[in-house]
Amino acid sequence: MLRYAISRFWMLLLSMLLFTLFVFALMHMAPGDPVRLLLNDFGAARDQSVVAAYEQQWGLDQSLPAQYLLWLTGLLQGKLGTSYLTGLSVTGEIASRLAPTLTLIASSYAVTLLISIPLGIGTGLREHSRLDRVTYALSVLGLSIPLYWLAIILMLLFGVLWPLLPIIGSGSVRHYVLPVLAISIVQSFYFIRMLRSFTVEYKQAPYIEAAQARGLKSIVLYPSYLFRSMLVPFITLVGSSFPAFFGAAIVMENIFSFPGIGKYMLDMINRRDFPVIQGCSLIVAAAIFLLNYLTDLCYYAVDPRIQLEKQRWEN
Amino acid sequence: MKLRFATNTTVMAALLFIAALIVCGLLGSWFQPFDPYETDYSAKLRPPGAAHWFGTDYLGRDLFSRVLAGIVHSVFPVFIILAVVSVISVVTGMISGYYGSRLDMLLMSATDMFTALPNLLLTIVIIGFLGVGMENVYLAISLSWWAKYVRLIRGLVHDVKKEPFVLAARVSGSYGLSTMMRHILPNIMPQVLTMIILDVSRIILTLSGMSFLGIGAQPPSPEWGAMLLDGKNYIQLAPWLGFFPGLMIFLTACAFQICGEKLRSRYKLK
Amino acid sequence: MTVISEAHQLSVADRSGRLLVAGSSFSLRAGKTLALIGESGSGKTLTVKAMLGILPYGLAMGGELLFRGRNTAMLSKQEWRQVRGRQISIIFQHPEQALHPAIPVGRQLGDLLRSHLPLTRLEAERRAQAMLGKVELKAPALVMKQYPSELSGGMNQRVMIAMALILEPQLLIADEATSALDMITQAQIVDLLRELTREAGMSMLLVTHDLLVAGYLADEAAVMQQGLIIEQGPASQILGSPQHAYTQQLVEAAKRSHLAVRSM
Repeated sequence: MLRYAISRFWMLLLSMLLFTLFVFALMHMAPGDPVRLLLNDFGAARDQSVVAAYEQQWGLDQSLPAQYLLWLTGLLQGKLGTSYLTGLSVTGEIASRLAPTLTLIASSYAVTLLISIPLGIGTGLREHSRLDRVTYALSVLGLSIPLYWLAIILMLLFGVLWPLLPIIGSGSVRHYVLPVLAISIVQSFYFIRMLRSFTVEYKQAPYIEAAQARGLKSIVLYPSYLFRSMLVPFITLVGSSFPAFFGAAIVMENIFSFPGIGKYMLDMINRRDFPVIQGCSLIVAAAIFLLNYLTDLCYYAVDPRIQLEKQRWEN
Repeated sequence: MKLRFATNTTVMAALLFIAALIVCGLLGSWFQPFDPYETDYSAKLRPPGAAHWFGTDYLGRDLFSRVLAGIVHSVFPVFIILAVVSVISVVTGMISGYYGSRLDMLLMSATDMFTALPNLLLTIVIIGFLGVGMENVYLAISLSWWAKYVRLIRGLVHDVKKEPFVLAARVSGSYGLSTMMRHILPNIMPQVLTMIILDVSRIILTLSGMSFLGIGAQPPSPEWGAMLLDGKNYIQLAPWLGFFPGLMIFLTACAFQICGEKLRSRYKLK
Repeated sequence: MTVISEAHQLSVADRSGRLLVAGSSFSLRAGKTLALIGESGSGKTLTVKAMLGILPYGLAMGGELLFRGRNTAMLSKQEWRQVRGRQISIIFQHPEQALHPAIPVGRQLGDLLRSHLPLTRLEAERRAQAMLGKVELKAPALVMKQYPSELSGGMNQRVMIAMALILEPQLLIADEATSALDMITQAQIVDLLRELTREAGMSMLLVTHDLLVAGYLADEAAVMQQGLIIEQGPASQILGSPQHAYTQQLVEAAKRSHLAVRSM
């Protein structure tokens, strides 16, 4: 367990390092010299000595690898820079916008699980039943629905034609209803499908079949025999869909003018506020990598015996 | 009562739809009743009707013509992206899967990085530094799909490598490249193709999604996502603007998804 | 003598209509052991699954199965559950696969007891532990807390026997129960099965491809080939003077391996 955790941790660091390299490369491919870009805003770019002074201050007169190292050590010390636009620290800007985004993601997760756990497991246990076929057909359609279009239709239905809910801004619980609903509907189709296939797969495990042959009560058989085995793939599913939920949250924030990180990032792209883009992407990427790492560890933490046994019955 | 989805009639309908889409895309202007870019202020925001089947937008442009013109911007790039990406990833995936070693390890952490990040974040990073535009969206999508395919193909190669016929070929003196071309590639091809078809709908959704967020195609491009963005802003005045382009995205994605599902059940792919 | 279980023209077909079990009839008398002999793929396991009502999806059963005079097709889902484990129990070929890998052995026994009897957790545990002692497991208290992966194949099979017998069913099905074990353990398990079933006056359906085991345990025998029962009768007669060509082959082969052992 510990050895796996450590070796997987090196992979995590390597991925993160590659990502910083990627961002650094992009920064240098960006059209325009950052110093000139910044100084242009102050109208000082024409003065060569000022440019040179700034270049020296930010280490831009050094070689690329040296610049990368300089930049990286800065990052490691937590220097994410300040926004061109507001002059405030990027960390602070992000922190103040974290809550709406996280609430949006968390509630979407909750609603998605609420819809998909009963349906996914139910259709898996009653494979080939009518409910199962209808759900499958719907999921093919559901996987093709553009999230943004669904959101617009929901807006149209519940905001315009039948004005029940606000379609813009945030602040009250009611503002969350439509975005959460849109994300959950789209994600549920995927979750139902995955949960169904886990159920079908683990239902065929020899030990579940044997437990059935012993006439175990359903109330014991399903929760503590079947679902226990499905815990690992379930956790993996939940953990690995965080990026999808995050992406969906960005879209929703922009449609519903929600003041979260996603909207902030897109706004700053349009204003070409490089430190913000850089800071946001590094933080979000780090969060995602870390979450993936933790999900992978769950594989061992939950119960390795189930996985070992699975390898055996599959061969 | 039969409710199996991938029945032959549905698959036929999906294929017909795709064929019609391609024809309309290639012979675009023949089918378009109006010029998709021509503005007509006298016919602003007309609801769908006999003259304008899908209505007109705030500049009086015919939405139906624009939707047809959008095929070239929303669907065709997907084919090109997939063609390029799959060739590159088949090559890298096969090399990585066949030879293993340190290169493999580095490649895997690189692909790990790209697959872990949501498409949207990757696109935001790329667009954020390189500027708004469709080419950068293509680049971002290619990078994340390349990574996904390399991982999948590498896994497939690993499995096929252990098959007796491959071992036999290697024992009898067949070298890396010829083994790969003659024994490994043909055996992973059906799975790879299924995978690609299944992904068409997802890439269509992603591509239009980027334009919808305003970081892909820019007005006046009739890209479906960009048109939806206009529609969103006119949701109270002209709801049809937000409906038809989205419907097209949905139907197109659906058609490809149905074909993909059919292939998936045929090749027993997970 | 009363008949416990009976199959009339039992058949199992898959969705394409291919018969996997093609109309076999046999009967099991109270307190007797019937050996169902055949190679793998001859339809033995499907017969067993049909008898427990756990045929996989897509397989259809034809013919009639009677258990204690009752047609099992009439059983409701709930009644089936009460029959399985309580009245008909089964021992599988691979005990470590038939036990949940992440639940201690004792709890699995307890779950079984409490699914069929109104017992408290503590009572169930006590009975489970006593039963583990009865199947000659040393240190039953320790085994109770262990996971299947911590026990040897033979020990796991003893746990399975404990599970199969703890509710004193009328019929025990042993599906290749000893085939995966090494010779010495196999002999011990066979003896244990014989002793315990005799003691409880239980009927046993012994599904096996091993004629030696069949000859040792069975009163009667039925030979299965490609879904059909081709010969049946008293075990001594079937194994002593087989009539059907296939049975003769089987007996011949068994004798030869027996001789080989002797000549060593």
